[in-house]
Amino acid sequence: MTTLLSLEGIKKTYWPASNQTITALGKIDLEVQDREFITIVGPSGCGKTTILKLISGVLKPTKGRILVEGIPLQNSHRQLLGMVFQQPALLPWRTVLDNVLLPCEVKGQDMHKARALAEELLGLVGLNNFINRNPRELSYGMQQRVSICRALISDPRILLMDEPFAALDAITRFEISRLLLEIWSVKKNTVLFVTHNIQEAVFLADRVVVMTPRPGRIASIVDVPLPRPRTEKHLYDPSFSSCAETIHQLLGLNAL
Amino acid sequence: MNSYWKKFYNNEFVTMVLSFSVAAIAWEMAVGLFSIPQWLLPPPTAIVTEIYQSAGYLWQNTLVTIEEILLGFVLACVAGTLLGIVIAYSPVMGKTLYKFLVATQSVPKVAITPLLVVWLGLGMAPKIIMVFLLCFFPIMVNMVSGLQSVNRELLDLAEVMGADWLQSFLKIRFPAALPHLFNGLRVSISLAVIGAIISEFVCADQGLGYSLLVSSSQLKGPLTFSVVTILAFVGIALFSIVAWMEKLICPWAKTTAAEDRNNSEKNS
Repeated sequence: MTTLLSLEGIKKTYWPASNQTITALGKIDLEVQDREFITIVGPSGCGKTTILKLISGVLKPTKGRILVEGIPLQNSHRQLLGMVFQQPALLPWRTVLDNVLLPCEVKGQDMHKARALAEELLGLVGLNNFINRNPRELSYGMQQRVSICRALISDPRILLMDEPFAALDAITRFEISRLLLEIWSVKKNTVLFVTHNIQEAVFLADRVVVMTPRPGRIASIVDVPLPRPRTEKHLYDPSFSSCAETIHQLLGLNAL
Repeated sequence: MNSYWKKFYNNEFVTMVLSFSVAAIAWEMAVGLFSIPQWLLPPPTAIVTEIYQSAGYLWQNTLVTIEEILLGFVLACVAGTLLGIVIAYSPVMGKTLYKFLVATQSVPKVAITPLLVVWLGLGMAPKIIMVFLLCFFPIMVNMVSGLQSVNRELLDLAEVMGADWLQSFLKIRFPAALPHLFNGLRVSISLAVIGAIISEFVCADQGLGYSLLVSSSQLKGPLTFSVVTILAFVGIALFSIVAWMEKLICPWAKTTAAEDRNNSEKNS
């Protein structure tokens, strides 16, 4: 396995007022392998989202550097990125299909090909019958599936997901998690997935990055030894429980 | 039978016509009963007759006023939208120009109408400018707030996609701000009618405001009321056109409000 993404000594400080500084991220060192599924868990405000924003280039690190395949992060790397937000963030004036096609329009890609791919992706997430609907006609879970398709349309090497399922109920959440793993097993993107939910983190990940409260640092990285493809059976596997317990303790320990 | 009756009074148009008819009949009867002279309060029938008889005169003056309203309004749309965009995008402009424009709003614009006549003469120009001045501010303010209240995640999305300034404006920020802009347009189109009439009051030789002033000074009650009636219709028509355009251009804005209402009804 090769290293796709490495964060070297990343620090991020905010200045919300002139006499006030908030250190969002302490010192983050992380190597992400190609085609790896990483989840990041941590208490609220520990800078999980900040990590994703730094990788996506929306924010710049105060210190340290981010390397993609050994090259410092630059604007052209955006071609490799897809992002899913906590909210579906769909454009209400566009149909489901046109929402998925938005990144291709912006990047000036061949729309004919993109259209076929969009229809295929929407089929994968079970929305074949909704492609010409307005996003508002869809349930929240369906909207989030559309936004996953939008992130996947440009076939990103790196998929950044910022608590995408946080607002969903437990059953929908599990269904959509499994769907994500199914798609991932086909597309084999590298995924960085931020969550609050320990079960979700273990179920999805190859490795779980556990963070400390602010200023966020990496407390530990937990390997998940469960085989793939993952099913609901793995939720009741002893090694699933022991992973979850380890993470729970890591989080609890640091909260004290 | 019961459900038929329900449908009947639930229809907005029917209820509107019904309530207007009742008011008109009451008016007509009151004028006759108390023998009120026509120059004081003409009955509805006299107004309708007057509109019919003076149709040519009224039509001519209506066209003049509508022209003033539309020219001023369109001018305000263009300037308000453009300036709104500049202010929303440029922090320097936002701090200086915006504060200045807000400060000028405390000057009652109607008070400068005589000045406009002095500066711009007796023709259409001062009327158009007055309409423009009244319409401009609501349009600009709503454009600014619309552009500034775009969902943070949508802007991040634009950045992650690598959208340039123009793409993120055209594909995300401007469409997202459109419902706000239409709020401003709806306020402005009502103000536009007021602006045209007020400036015609000050100095004019044609237009509905002029006819209103002349007819009332000559105690021509039915004619005065005809003009008022026509003005009401002009106002309603222009407002409806703006509302219709909003439905056409950004249907999602309306459906949201309707859905919210539906949802809250379901929940309650």
